[in-house]
Amino acid sequence: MAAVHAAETLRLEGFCGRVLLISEENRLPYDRPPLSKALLTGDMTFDGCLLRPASWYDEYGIDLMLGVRVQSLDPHTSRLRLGTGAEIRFDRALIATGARPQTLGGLANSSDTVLALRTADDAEKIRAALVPGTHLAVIGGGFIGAELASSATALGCEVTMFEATAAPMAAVLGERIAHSLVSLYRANGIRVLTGTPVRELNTGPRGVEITSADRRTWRADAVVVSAGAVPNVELASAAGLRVSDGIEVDETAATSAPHIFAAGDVANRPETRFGGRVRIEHWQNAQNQGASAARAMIGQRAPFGEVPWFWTDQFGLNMQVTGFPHRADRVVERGSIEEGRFAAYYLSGRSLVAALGVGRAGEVHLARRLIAEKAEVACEALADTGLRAAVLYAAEA
Amino acid sequence: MQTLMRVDIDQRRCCGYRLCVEVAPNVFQINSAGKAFVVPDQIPAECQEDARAAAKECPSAAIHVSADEGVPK
Repeated sequence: MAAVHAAETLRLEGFCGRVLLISEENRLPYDRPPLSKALLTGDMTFDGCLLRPASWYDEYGIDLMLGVRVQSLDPHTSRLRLGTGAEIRFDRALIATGARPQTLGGLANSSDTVLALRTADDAEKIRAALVPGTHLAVIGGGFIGAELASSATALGCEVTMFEATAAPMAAVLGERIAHSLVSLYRANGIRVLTGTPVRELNTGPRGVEITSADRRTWRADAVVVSAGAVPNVELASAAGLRVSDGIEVDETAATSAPHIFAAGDVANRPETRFGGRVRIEHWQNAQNQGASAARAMIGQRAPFGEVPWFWTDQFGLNMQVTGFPHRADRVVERGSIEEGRFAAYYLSGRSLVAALGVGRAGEVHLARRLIAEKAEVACEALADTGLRAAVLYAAEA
Repeated sequence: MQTLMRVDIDQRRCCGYRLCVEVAPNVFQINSAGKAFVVPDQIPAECQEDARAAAKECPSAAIHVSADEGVPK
């Protein structure tokens, strides 16, 4: 995603040199959001997920090398070594290696019945496992786990979700909303086991035996581990670039080697408004940071500090989240998730730092602008009248 | 005579914000990929103002509204 947008931006900005896009996956670059949703349910085909048609790469003069792994990168000699043994010299490089699924401690997830979702190949394997009547266990109650559970129930599977904590994402979204999400999952037929960390997965002829930390056991036909992602930093790390939770970049996406850039899920950038550093695993961040990195590569350096935003579709609801919910000291709610009209405003003092909305696209978008401006809102008005009025009140005060 | 309106959505620009669906629910819907599409073949006169407002609101400027020069079906 970041790489395709970077390549496109280079051309749109008039760059005439060679652009080479190298991918370990032997597929044309594709969009990932449908992998947990429409691609699983069969509402979309893989071709519908392609970011650009095959002809586009010719049209834009972008050389594609698919199914090729970059073995190493030397910032001093500006050379890449490929898995094929070939060497390539570059003037500027963008690392957009993304992230991979977090594996549970000691649990291999690479059999036909224990799966994880990241690539289109993964999605196809999961899809093959989701025949009606299958009992699927989803390990992890985050948004991707919920999307998988939602798609699997739509396909007629029986789903059990294992969540290690008392409520999924409570540390980020807050206790109340995390519990509302559990209620939503349960209302849609998902069996949710909270406070149930999984210790062991054993595959056998009768499916997978799941053992929790307190030695209880369950059986499922297939398991999808959805316990977050870890950034693919190995290439950067071996190249001696500065790496922490992701590849550390500055606000123009440059790494500690100024001619090498990183963007998307793998990049860890400074958060200029609220301080600290962030690594954002969202679709739109990958697009726009990729484009920003491309401009920086050709000397048009401008800081990138977009307020994060993403959407998730699950159980017939569209939920949108913007900002930095973990920075809030309190949350004001309005409406109800199950009724499809809901907003949660995350506040730090009188400033909005994040918002979550269901059926409230306009409010989420307004929230995103207010977060960017670090605007104050009339917190006492939020629960009754919503964000628009609360902004007006704050302006009058 | 009723003015015909043409509404196009640039699918590559659309990010799935859904503001258009909120502003003009009779004109826009969201497909299974999470992107907006135009529902009616012809935009009814009473929806044209909303369609223009949606185009103006779209954060990614993915909606283009123009006069339809084509022959009415």
